[in-house]
Amino acid sequence: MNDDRGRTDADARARADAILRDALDLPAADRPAFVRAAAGGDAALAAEVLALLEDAAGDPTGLAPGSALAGAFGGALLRRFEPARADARVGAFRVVREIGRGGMSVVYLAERAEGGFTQQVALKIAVPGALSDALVRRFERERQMVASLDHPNIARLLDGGRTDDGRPYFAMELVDGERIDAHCDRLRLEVDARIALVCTVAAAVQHAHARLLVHRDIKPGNILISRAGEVKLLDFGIAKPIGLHPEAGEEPLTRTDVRPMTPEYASPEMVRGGPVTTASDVYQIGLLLYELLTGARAQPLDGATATQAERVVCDIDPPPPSVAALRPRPGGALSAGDTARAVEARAAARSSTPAALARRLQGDLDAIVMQAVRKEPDRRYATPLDLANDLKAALASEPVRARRGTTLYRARKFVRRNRVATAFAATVLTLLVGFGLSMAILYERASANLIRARAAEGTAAHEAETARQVSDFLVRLFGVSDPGEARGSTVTARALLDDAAKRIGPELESQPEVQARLMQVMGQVYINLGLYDAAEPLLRDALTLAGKTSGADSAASAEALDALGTLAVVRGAPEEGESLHRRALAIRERLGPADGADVAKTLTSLGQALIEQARYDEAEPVLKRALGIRERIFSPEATEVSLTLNELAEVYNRQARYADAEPLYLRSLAITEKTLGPNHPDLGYKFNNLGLLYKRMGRFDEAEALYKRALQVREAVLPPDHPLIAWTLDNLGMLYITRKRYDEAGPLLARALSIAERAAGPEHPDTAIVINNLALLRAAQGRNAEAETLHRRSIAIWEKTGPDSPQIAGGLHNLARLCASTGRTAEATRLYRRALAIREAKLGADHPLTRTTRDALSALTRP
Amino acid sequence: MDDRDTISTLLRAHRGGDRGALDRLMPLVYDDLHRLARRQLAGEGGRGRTLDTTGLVHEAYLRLAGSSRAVWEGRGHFFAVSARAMRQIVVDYARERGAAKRGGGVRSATLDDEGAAVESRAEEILAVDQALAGLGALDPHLPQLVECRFFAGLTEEETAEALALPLRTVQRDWARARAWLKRALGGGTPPGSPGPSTPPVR
Repeated sequence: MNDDRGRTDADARARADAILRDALDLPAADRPAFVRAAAGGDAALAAEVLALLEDAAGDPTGLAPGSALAGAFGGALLRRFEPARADARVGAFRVVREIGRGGMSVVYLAERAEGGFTQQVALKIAVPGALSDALVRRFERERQMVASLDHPNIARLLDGGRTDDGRPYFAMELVDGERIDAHCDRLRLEVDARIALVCTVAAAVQHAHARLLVHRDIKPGNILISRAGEVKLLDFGIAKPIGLHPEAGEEPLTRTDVRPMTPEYASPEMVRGGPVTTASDVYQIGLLLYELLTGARAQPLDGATATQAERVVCDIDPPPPSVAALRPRPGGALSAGDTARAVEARAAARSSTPAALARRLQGDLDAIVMQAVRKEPDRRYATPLDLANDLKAALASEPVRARRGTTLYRARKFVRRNRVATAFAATVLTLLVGFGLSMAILYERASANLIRARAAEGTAAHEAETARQVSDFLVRLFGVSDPGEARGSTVTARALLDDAAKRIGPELESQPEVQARLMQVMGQVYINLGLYDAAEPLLRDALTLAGKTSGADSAASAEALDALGTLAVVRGAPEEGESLHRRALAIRERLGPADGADVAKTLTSLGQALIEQARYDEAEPVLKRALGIRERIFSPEATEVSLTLNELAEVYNRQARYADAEPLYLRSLAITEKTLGPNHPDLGYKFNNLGLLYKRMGRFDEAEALYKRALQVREAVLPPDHPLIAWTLDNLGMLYITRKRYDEAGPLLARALSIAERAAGPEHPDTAIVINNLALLRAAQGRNAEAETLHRRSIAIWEKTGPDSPQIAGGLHNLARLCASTGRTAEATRLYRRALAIREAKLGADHPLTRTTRDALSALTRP
Repeated sequence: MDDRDTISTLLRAHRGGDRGALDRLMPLVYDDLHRLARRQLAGEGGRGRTLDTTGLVHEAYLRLAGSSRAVWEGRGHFFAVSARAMRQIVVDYARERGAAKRGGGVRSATLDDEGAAVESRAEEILAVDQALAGLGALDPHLPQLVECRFFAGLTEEETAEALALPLRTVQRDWARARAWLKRALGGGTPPGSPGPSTPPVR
């Protein structure tokens, strides 16, 4: 009930907004008249929009530009930007001065008097608003756990709480020291000494792991060496209790929960948004070790884009340390001389030479480091302690575990990748279904086409590889860290699609075949969603790419041509569509078999293009041939069969061979209902078409019921601006006109027009149909001047699309009748004659519409 | 990487369609704006009553564009992200103030004289923030437009640049957004009897 209500409200708002939007484009004086016309007799709607216009014109001071920060509020907010000043009190602490700041917090030197002496601390205060409420609560829970850490190499958490204005703060042991990397280089520590420091770090991390805490941000900047030479691991503030993964979730992750991580030190699972466990800390200790030993970063990201960075972190194994020690830093020195000097300087900082350093690292140390930084968490050392033990073994020249059993590694890696892709592909489909759109079906169908096309072309292995890459891409598309973010509270399928469309180019540059297929798939999805402008560039690129990679005569090219043809037809350019489909057909017939599924598919599309050109006599044999093929190779209840049945019925319907059309429509409808369920977009077509037939046959009650079911399905599964919704509304409106229920027809047609103009475009021939129908309504209501203007507008649109179409004839006939009714006989006669000439040529002399025009003309000319 | 380089890299990634980039970008831009706001304040040697948000956004941009290692591809996108950050800054603060009021917490005495004004404004801003969701249902770019105009104080031209929309559309849709917002805030003109010159009845 509530849903219905909400839906109605949303509809009403959307309708009012559409009129408001158009009205605002007009000069102010013209707006009221336009609003009433557009509201089509719906007085409440008109009043609503007029009231909105009042508000739009006024200048409500509360909403003036920039005023969010005006007045006392702005003043108060400003004070929040001020730093905690010296002497400010935070809990038991007194701020002395700022000593650093990060993305989400500011760190102060602070002190508190305790038992007669003064204790200095590092006081870390969150930036206002940087943390969501949920995150603050979680931090506070974690604080309890961090407070339980008592290890000489972990900077202690002393206190924490909230400032007066509610921001969380932490007081940590103040460490007076320098970063571990600077410390090592300044003292020119040798490899063994550096390894000893890393072992100490590993032991500290192990201590935290035993208390169910993961650090998650181990990097040189978070490890200080005190003046006394002690290792101090900082910043367990972001440590996270093991097991409280968001997916197991107590509280949903919010945007602010994503901390600006340091990509150079991120683990693959962090970048992928997977569970971050103790294995992630092992990885980061490995990165630290790599850098301290070689002087080079294992994950150099200078100037990398996010996509490149993701590849570096997730896919690219760094060179072994012994190799890195001899290489210049990527993007570092400019000239060869500098390069050599830089390599030497790094070795010198380790009290060594490049060659000696490389020799020292080769073997055990290479193996240990590389095992710590494996991309797969379960291939790394199980614990920091295991890593430390292996390092100690290497120092003692004992056997090292890292050098055993690497043979299985490659094979396992491959299997695992495929398993992950498969699992994710299932998730993708589930997600899509969850969005309420029938996208899952669209994708499913599209990928079925894809695989079929692939199979026709080549080897099964190649097919599997392409399919895997397609699903990998989908995985990346949906594997975003927080799908609830970035575009408001919900991600629409549309947003995902747009995102994907943008990413196909850059991410799959090296795999043009996969790229071509995905572009074509996405293009078809855009067509299905009614987003024609978005579809076109993708499909054009798909065609070009398919030609380049698979050849102009390949199945891939034919697929792309068919998709472009369909696009042309739905956009009101059926001639262009026909020529594209004929090109596709030629390719398919050449590739053979001539009576195969692909040929039938193209034939059905070609039939549609011919129907839209009113070349019914040519469409009939094409569609019969397609139906014959499909009935033979698919089951009698296959979706493919129902599609072709529907088109053939359409031919008969338009030829006024109603008795031939009805059984075909009924069969097609029955198949669709049975195979696709009650809410599939295809059902909308079936209900609509059969409704149209019944209307023509004068079976109005049945027609009305079918139109309403069509509308119901389409509103449930399509975006609210979809042209198909406009056409259904239009049909229902026309039926009401026929039944003289003008008050009901008005709002339906007004809404149809507003959607059509937006979705199909104001100059689209189908939009002109709605305009024509609105004209008929106005004429029926006796509003003749409005009616005439509208008729002339629709005829003008059709004349731009092509001369002498049946549609133009219809418009002329209608306009003629209007003229006749207002006594303008000469004009009416002229118009009827033109209409009759076209109808005789296009529909034949015996078509009911031709007869109607002929009868009207003779009635007029007979004295 | 310096923050600025990070911002620049992430902006490029975001323009390139990397949705995760926005997650990582927001806190940085947010922080940058905070920092600049503080400096603006200090530089004026006192506290102005109104923060020059447009100035802030421009300054943040110049910092970024002037940074030698940053490769920069246009201000519009940065404006849009900054406007989102400004909204977040303002709304977060409004939420805190609202929460303080609801909780009946102790307020510092110095704020008392302006406290009431601040709190009523905070409620209004929260209402605008909430209404934006409904606005987005009508047209997804309307909330962005309100972010640029109302929250960040960008001019019409800058907003057009930020959202890559024609100026005409920005002008029209700003009027449209305000009409709906006013309604959502309860101050809208109720639908009156239709008629070209009938003033709406309150």
